[in-house]
Amino acid sequence: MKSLEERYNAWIDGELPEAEAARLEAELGGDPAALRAERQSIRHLGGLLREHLEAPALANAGFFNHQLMQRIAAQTPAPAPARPFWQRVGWRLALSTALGGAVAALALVALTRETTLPDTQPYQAHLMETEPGEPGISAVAIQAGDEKLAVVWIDGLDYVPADPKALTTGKHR
Amino acid sequence: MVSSRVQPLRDPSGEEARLIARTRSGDTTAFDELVTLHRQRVFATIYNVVRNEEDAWDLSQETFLRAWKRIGSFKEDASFSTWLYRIAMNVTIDSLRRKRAEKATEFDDSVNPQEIEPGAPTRPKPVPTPQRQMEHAEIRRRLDEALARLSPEHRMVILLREMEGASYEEIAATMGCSLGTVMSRLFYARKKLQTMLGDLYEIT
Repeated sequence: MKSLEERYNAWIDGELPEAEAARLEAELGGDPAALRAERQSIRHLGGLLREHLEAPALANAGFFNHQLMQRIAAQTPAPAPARPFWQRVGWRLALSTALGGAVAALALVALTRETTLPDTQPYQAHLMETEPGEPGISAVAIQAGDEKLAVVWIDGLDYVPADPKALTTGKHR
Repeated sequence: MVSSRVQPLRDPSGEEARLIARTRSGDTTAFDELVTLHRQRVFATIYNVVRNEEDAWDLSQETFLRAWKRIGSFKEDASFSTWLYRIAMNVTIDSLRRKRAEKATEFDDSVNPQEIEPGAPTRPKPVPTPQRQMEHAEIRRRLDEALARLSPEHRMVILLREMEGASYEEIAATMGCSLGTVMSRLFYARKKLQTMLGDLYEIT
């Protein structure tokens, strides 16, 4: 069942079937002439609105678009500058993998070389413990391979003897 | 003066659909063309409600700006013009409500059905042929004043119906409300205007 408002508007607009219009008019009651006047006045109102309230043309229509596009440009964030290729995700992944592989390869090579170094490596040092003639004194000598260089670490001396030969009286072990 | 009584735009060639698709991908040139297609009708529709060219210009701009931002939410199976005019109506209602709050004025929506029965006889004031006596501007002023006393929703419903020639269903789609609400608003808007403007015409 349509509401009164729905049927009333359809009646005003002449969209209500004749039988329904007659039923509505009977429902509304009152003088049939008054009802016709009612409908006519509201239709006239629509005519007044259409006749007197027409909108003006949009002035400066071209500028309207221009201004709108400027506002859109101002509110649209500028696109981010293109990243260098090495910062892109795919490239970063590839580069990380390649770098990781290179480091691993280098480490493997270094490890292999370490284990195969000959004993005659010129910078290989020899550690020798000495037994000095004086009790309470210990000495360690480090000799660097073919380099004619030795470091002697002496501990327990109260003084540096005037004759270094005094330290060589012990035997090498 | 340009009539805003324009039938809904049709898109037999699919050109509008193509423009919408390009707009969705951020093509401002395509959107510019859409604006050109719809700007006059959007402006006229808004102008008929706000009755001020400057305000109508600004609100039309706001309408299209909002449409640009929300084009992603437009559903292809809907009418673009209905979707656009719905935005226009919302923008306009928001603006009118803000202005009302700022000015602390109130729309006179009070229509007492007991006071105006649907079948009640119209009793225009006994002024002889006022329509002929009044200048066009005066009639317009009276219409503007009467419309201004309606709420934005009531005003829009009657203007969409009388000025745009929109069907009840189109009004409901544009305003995002039910058909019953449209009918109710139209009924009261007509009754209210009839009461306020009864002296503008003589019923014979």
